[in-house]
Amino acid sequence: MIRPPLPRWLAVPAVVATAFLAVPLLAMVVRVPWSWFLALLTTTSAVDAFWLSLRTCTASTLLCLVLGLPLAMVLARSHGRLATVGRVLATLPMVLPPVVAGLALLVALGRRAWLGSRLSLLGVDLAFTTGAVVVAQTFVAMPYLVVAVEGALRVAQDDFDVVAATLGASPTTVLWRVTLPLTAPAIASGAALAFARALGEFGATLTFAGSLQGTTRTLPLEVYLIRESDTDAALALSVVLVAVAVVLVAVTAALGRSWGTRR
Amino acid sequence: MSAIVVAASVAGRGAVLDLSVPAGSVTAVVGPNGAGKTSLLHLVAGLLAPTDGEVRVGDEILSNPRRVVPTHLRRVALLTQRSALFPHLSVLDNVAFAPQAAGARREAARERAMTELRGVGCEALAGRAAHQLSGGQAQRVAIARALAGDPLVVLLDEPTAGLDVASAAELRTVLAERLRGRTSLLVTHEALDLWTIADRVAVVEGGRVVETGVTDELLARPTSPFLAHLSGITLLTGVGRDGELEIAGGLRIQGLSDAVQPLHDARPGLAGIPPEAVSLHLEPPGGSPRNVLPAVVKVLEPRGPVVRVRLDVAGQQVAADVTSRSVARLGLAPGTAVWAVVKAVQVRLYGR
Repeated sequence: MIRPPLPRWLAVPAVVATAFLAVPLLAMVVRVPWSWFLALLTTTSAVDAFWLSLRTCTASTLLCLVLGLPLAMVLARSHGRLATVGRVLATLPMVLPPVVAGLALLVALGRRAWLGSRLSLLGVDLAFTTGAVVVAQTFVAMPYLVVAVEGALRVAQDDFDVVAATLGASPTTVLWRVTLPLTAPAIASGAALAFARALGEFGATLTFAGSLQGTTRTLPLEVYLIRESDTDAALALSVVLVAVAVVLVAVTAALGRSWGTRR
Repeated sequence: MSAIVVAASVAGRGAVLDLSVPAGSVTAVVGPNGAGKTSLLHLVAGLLAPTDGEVRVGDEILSNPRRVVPTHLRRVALLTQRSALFPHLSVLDNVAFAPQAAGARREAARERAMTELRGVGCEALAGRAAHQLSGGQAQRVAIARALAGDPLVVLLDEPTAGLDVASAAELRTVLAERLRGRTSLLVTHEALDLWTIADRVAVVEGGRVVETGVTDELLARPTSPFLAHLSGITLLTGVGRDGELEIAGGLRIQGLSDAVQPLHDARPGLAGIPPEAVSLHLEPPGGSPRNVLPAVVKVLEPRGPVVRVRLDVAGQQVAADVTSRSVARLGLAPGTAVWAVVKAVQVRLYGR
């Protein structure tokens, strides 16, 4: 079928929009001192920040899976006011200013805070530790996983869970052998998005965890810190972050496609 | 094998369903859309809870208003129109799903699955993915998958719907063979399913089971318009007068009174007329005892070599099968006035 075409003039704003998105990234790639690129990335503080980001983002993505998957499954099967409240809570960090999220975490989990002081008695001091980075990242990244998985579970309208139950599968068996494998692509793409969001986390981390080299200073914090004193290094690290983001988005898109063909 | 006894109502759906399926019988459930056929299946599968009454399989009460045994503990297999094979498992692992869920080891489960696949003639498809199967193949694999769990009861929701004629015929053969001796409930709209798969029929209308019986007997002398429609027989309603049925407009229908359900004078009755027994004429013919009824052509439906002519006879519908050649020769079209002629020996009269 040949669809009726769009108006030709629509191409102009579309091109402008593309340029708007592409130009800053290209400018950065052009400005990076490629001749000593590797040297810029291998300074102690850069390497520290890189490994810290990798460790914390992996940990927070795993935490998102452990906590976010059950939440997504429960939400996908829930109706009513309580479910609406749950759904709002699960998506709120997406639209919240990260610095506000960090402040909220500090007020709840800080050393002198209500929950934090009690944890402190148990020997768990969270604020301004690597653990705090993971908490901040998980807080802002989990919605991406929950939304992706809940959406996939809702559109899975072939009643595979009903069929599995009539074949004698207990709810736990259905979960492991049917629901999780069938939503695996959505889980993977949700996890990739959550990882990307955690990697870019800045405001909540700075507010709740501070900026201590090797402990809480992740890549974005390092970039911000050295952006004036050592612009070249900041640009090099930024390019690394862009490259990782590109890979994650490509993975998500590919998963979306494979999921589309399987249905 | 265990018998199914449903004596339950579902308030929200306006259903009061009462049905016994003898152990080992395949009972077809027929009825208009929205009559409560699927509710019946869902009650037995545990997908719908009764607001009153109970559902039993064998000696066990599976549902009553206080307690509903979860679907996975019922050993009730459900086969739907869409075969719903798991897309992430091979055909073999689809069929091995139920034995594995019951705790069988992978190898034992696959062996069992292979046996069931052989039973439906699909052993060659074991290694395929679900999306590589045709509709008919997928349904046959779904049957194997359902039976691999040794269900006490098999429920089928229009399994042949949506298949092409050849695949549906093949599936009927497989179902007839594999369901023989298993307590089954088969919801269908296809008269052929009744003849080939089911040994009993239950008619559901308006949320009630209005009639049950042995397939052959019920279809040979249908007493509800729905069954008559399924078996293709026209039913005229009227009142018994001197051994004949008087219908609107004072018309009298002669026929043979049914032995089991005879027509009585001054009592409501039915006349069953097979469409192939009706001939059409432009002038009233004479001859041996015949019913000669004034009729008006309503609709012409070509069906291969014959044309089904739907007639209006004193406000009731009568179907007649005639050749397309006679349609042309008589110049039949909607609105044509004709005489519908039926030999009395081909008409059966029932009391109600």
